[in-house]
Amino acid sequence: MPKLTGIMGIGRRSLANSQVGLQTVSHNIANKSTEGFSRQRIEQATTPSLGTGGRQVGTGATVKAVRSIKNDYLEKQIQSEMEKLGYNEGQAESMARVEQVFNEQINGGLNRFVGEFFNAFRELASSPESAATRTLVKESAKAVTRDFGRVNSQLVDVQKDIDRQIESEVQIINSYTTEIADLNEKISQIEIRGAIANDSRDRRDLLLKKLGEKIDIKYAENEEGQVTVMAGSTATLVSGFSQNELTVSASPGFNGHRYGEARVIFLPTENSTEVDITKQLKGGKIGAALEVRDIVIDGLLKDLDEVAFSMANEVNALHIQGKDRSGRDGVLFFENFPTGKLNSAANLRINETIDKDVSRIAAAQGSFGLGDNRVANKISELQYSKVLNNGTSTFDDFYTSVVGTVAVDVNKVNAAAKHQKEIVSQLSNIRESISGVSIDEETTKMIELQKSFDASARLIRAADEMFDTILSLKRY
Amino acid sequence: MRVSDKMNFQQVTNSLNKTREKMAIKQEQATTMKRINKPSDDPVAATRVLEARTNIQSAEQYIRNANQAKNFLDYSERTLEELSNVLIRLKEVALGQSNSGTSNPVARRAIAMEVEQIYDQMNAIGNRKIGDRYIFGGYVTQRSPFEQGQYTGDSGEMEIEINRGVKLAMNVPGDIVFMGRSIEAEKAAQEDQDYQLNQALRGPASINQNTRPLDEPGAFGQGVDVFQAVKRLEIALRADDTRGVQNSLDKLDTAINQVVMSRADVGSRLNALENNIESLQKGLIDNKILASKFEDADAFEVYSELQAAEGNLKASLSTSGRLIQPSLLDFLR
Repeated sequence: MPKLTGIMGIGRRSLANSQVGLQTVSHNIANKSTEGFSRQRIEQATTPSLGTGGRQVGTGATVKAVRSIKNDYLEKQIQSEMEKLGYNEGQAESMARVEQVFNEQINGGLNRFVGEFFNAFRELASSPESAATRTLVKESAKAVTRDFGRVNSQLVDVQKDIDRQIESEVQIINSYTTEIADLNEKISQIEIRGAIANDSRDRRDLLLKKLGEKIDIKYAENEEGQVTVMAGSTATLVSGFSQNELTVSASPGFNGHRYGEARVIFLPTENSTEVDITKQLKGGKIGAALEVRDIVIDGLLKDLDEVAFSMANEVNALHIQGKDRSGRDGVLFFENFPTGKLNSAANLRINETIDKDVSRIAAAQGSFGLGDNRVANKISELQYSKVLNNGTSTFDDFYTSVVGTVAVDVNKVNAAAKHQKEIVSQLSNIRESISGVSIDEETTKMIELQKSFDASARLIRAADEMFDTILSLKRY
Repeated sequence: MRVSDKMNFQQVTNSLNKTREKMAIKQEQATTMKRINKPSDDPVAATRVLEARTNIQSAEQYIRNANQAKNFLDYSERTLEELSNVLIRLKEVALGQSNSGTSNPVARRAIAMEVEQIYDQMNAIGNRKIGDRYIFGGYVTQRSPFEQGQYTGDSGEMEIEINRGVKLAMNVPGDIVFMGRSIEAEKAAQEDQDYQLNQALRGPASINQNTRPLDEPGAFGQGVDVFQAVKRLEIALRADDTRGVQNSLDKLDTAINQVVMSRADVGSRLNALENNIESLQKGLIDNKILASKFEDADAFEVYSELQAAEGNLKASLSTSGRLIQPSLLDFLR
């Protein structure tokens, strides 16, 4: 036997359902631009029907759940592609700065100064008596030493910047992992009651993506809905509700490096020993920055030292055999290197004696005539002698190949970053197609729900009128 | 496919970024008029440009050096010409005095005075300078190399790099021109010495060595001290010694020969220099063209591409505008 109160009840629940629906719609609209948000839908189901006699009478609907519409597998895929993107973009960023150091397209660089240096000796050979050409030799030598210094210090500056970058990235990583641990807690609290923690999960997925952009992580979710996050191969950043910090330390002279370089340190618990995980990090922005700093730039600095060291030694060996303008024995042209080959580009200096008195520049081989230019000739010939790479390349060959390698590398990483960006943008397009909010859709939904709200209200009024009708029966 | 709003916006941002990036690249090329603005724009071309630039830089220096050497040799040549003219004049004078029948002691003494003057003139020629450099002193360029017929210079040849791996001496040491030092004779003497050494080491069995046989002493001729020859002529004239005059004439012939040989040597060096400068200049232009081909932007191409990029940008702006605009909300009242 159907009851009027039943109709009222259906209307009331329906009103509530519409309100939940409308609230979800408004939540969707409000979060239309929220990063990582997945649109939500109410899952409405019929309430159990009442069986009276041979009939089943419906009792209306209830909202079972509010669910995010998303593809978890896709989210995971995006996460791993974004890790690659972070790596590629990180490389492209740092390499662009490295390239700038060697950019001679517009302004002159080391190549030009080295050429001018040897040309100055050619000029000296053509008028070895002149004091003016000796000054030219000195000035061009100083220009070379300055430019070796410039290239060296600019490369080191990039390394130092990378240090600072790593430091700030690590801070961001720590804030992400702290939030992930919090979200772990929230999610398990909500889901233990049987609900779905849509918004928290969205947020956590987003954070995992962002984390992956910075550093290579592995993560897995357990049955309670908590993720465990590992960085590198040993550092557990998040486990359950607890989070472990990464720190950055600069250890001077570590591993034969030139100065304090930032190391990424993992601190498992407050009182345990620190673990240096720098070497384990191969992905994300930090992995890229470390690679550029420790492999690319380090190699370039060594190449540069090689050129500076050989140049100074070869020139010195010839110059010291010569005789200067007053017939005195030749002195060193460049100062000796205090630290051997290491840092020789930074330490390349013209001998102070020559700097003070250009007549000490030796052009002659014998001490008799001032027109003797044999040593100047020999030094200028060094430009095209194969003195580098075990006697297989000239200074020009060597330097050009260094510039060429940098250029090819930059080209490669730029292409990789571009390609990876395409991939990520494709995937996130697919993601938005599934989980993104469409205003048209939400508006339709809103009108639909509004209509059903109106209808439910009318239903209640109808039931109310019916009550009135029944109650009025009694008055007569 | 379901299209969400964010997809639209992302697409708009992406395509706008792309067209703007393309436009920025073209704009940079248009302002610098360079196709390569950093090495990675075209690594292969960038390294080729670097090489070409080094070549240009060296070629410019080589041309400077070669011109300097040319100057020096030109002047040396002119001086040697003067010297040979002086010697020829001397010979003419002496020829008339070699016969006792054609002249008398008084005339000879008068001629001796002229010879003395010529001697001084030769001394002056030997001490010629270009700028502040004595040209006949070998490496000794800052001190007069001839004093009263004595050579105080050395045998230094100022070699100068005029092309990659090519050197050329820009001076003729005075001892070759005036003192008769013969490079060939020295070389021959060295060879003789080596030959004898070989003989001693190997014994007669290796007699068929491909070296110059010993029985040609002075095959290249011995040089003569020009000053001495002239001085002797003067003394002979003063002493009225016709035989001495005749002897001096032979020496004078050798001396003239010696100077002419040096002049020929300088001439051939000048020739080599001319050729070298020409090929350097050609190489310079070739390298400039090469560098330009690799790094310079084609103005027409860049501007038309820039225009195309601008068109693209406008197109994507207007489609973006349309794409973002309408939604269902615009049609609800």
